[in-house]
Amino acid sequence: MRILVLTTQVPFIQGGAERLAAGLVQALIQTGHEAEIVAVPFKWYPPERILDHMLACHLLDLTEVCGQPVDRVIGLKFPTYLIPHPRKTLWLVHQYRTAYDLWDSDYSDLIGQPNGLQVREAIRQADRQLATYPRRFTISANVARRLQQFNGITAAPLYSPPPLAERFYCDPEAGYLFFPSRISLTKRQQLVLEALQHTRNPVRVVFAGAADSQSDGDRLTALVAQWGLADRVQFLGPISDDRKLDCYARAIAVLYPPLDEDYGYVTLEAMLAAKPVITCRDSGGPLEFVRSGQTGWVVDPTPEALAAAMDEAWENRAAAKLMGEDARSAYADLNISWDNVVKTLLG
Amino acid sequence: MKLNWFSPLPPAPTGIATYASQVLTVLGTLADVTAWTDQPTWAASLEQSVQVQRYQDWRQIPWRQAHQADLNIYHIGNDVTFHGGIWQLSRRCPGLVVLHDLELQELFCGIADATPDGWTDYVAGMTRCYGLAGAQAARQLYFKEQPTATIAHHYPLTEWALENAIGALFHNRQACQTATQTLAQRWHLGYAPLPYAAAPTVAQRSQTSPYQLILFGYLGANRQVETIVRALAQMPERDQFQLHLYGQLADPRPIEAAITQFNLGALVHIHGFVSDPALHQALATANLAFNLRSPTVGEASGSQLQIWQHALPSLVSQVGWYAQLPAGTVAWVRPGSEIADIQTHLRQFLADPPRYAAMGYRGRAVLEAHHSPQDYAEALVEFARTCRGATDRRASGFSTVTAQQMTDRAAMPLADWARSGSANSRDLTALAQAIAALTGNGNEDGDKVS
Repeated sequence: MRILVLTTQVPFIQGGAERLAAGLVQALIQTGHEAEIVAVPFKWYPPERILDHMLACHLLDLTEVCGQPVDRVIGLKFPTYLIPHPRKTLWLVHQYRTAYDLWDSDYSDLIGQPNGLQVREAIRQADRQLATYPRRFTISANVARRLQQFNGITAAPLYSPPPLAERFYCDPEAGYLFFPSRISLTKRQQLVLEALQHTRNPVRVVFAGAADSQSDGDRLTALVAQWGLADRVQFLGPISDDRKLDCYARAIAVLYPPLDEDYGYVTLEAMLAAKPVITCRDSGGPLEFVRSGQTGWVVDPTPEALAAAMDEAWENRAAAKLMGEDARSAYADLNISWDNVVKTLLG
Repeated sequence: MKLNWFSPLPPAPTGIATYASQVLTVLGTLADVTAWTDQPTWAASLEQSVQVQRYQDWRQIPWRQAHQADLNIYHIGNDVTFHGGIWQLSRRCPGLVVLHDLELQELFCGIADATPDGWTDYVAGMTRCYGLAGAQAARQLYFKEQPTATIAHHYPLTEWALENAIGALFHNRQACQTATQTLAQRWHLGYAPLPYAAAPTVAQRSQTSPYQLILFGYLGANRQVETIVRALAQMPERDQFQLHLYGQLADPRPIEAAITQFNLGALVHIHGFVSDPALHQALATANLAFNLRSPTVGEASGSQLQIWQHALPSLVSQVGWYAQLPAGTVAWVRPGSEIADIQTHLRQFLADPPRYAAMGYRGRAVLEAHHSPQDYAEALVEFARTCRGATDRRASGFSTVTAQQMTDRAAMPLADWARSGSANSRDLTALAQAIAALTGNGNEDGDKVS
């Protein structure tokens, strides 16, 4: 089949959604299909630009290309899942969350705009189109829950392996906790820095990943200086795949306390590297995989609670190692594979 | 339901502030209301009914807080001091617009004067609403080749006042019915009689000569004050009347000149602004009121309701909202025949004062039956729910605004393509269907043009 994977692109920003789309296309090709990504550039400010993008997507005709039919499209993100097609499958990464669960949060820009309420309503109205997908899946139970809660639309979770799943390995720990993720407010690197002020031990944390914006990076750098954490914190910035695998392999544990994450490749990567995960009760996707006390820690989203878990991992490294091995076994039990994803999406 | 309310509030010197006070007192019992104002002070009594939230400037609204409401209600009239900023808000955050005037050239000219490049925007607005004729009229007004009142009648700019609105509430039934023919496709339209809280009792007034005649409010040219003075001056029976003018005379010079010319100094009294109790006392003891409006800007008259509150008979212009008043509750004066009709009515009044007194009581009965703030507030809440919409089968009231914005965005390039032959009716249909599907403004399938 000729299959197009529909997603959005924010130029110069790379994250889990981009890797998921690439992984899907690769898996489709390996299964014998022709597959490509259609990535529509997306700008969400000022809010009226969102309406432009919605309309532009809904006007696109991808039923055929150069006279040859496109057999299937797989919609991943807003607003590209609004592109019409007679044979479409939804595998929802996430909706435009500031119109939903993040509307009245510290992470919302929409609510601060005069036309914010109108644009929110427009997004919610347009998302009724999701009900026209005959087959609907989401990347996690958390995303499926939101879709049901806010839109009354049901979809089944369908997990996918993280990139490089087969290459993760475990090495003896080298005395640090690892936090790999884009640097942004919702990933909550700042919460970890606040927690470091409360640890009993001189816990060290290594952060890896690019900042979404200059201000995101500058904010954390300033806090490190302000709180005197320079000898305990290291920001690696964007790193190569090999370095990332190595950082996972030699970590005591992995820190991943985002706010209501859609899915969270980091959790699965940690499990593959046989490392326990420290996460929070409101972290969303990771909670579908982390069992507190067995494969990691699930704590309240406060600096004190996070610090206590970090101290536990720091002090009980043997126990952390065993939890990591349990995490790897738990991943294997989940039977997460691209074969399963392709088979399920294509029905 | 949570509502944000944007209007002048007492003690602002406008009848709309009085209206707001009366409506909010009741509205606060029917909904969770926040009244927003840029005034430095407001009547403390308002806070017994609603929350009052001050903002510095329309550009500095705390939108996170404002968006907690289900709908914003904006009050639009001609006075740019009170309504210019509110209109700017209404076009940025869609809501329900209450039209206190229908011909709004004064408002938009005031905005044009007050903003950088304002007149450029004004010409663009007139062109957008009325095409080339509108652009030409705009230039005539700017260069004072035509008076504002003349331009206003032919180019009322009601549509511009409703830019990005979800719905409009009229106080003028006929105007609402007329608007339905052209505006109902785009906006929710509603009508409710202008409210006024009737005081429980009516004072007994003297029915002997000299009879007290009264005018009050903002006395601009359309109030026909000079005409009234001249009509009285020409009557041999004039000494049986005393004429009292309360409020602000827009231009006192012709009135003072007429008083002098016709030796009316002992008959005509210019009081200026007085306190509300003093004005009410004057109305309570008057025998006949003048409430002429020619031309009218389509308004419903709070002054008329105030007159009826005192069961006071009145002469009104037979035009606009006034012409729709129930027969027998007012005495009509035909535009263009003011002096003759005024004199006829004054002579009839002298011949049969109880007949006119009865007219005043019939007006009072209409006020009590049809203009209660309770009925108005209930109607307003119901209409707000309609505008807000968002049921399972019906799109949110915002959807028509979104559909219009999408159409406007696509119209320009599409028009260029159509002119060059690159776009055809199939493209237009596809665009319309896409907009309908996205905004829910089609049928149940969402993929057909409404």
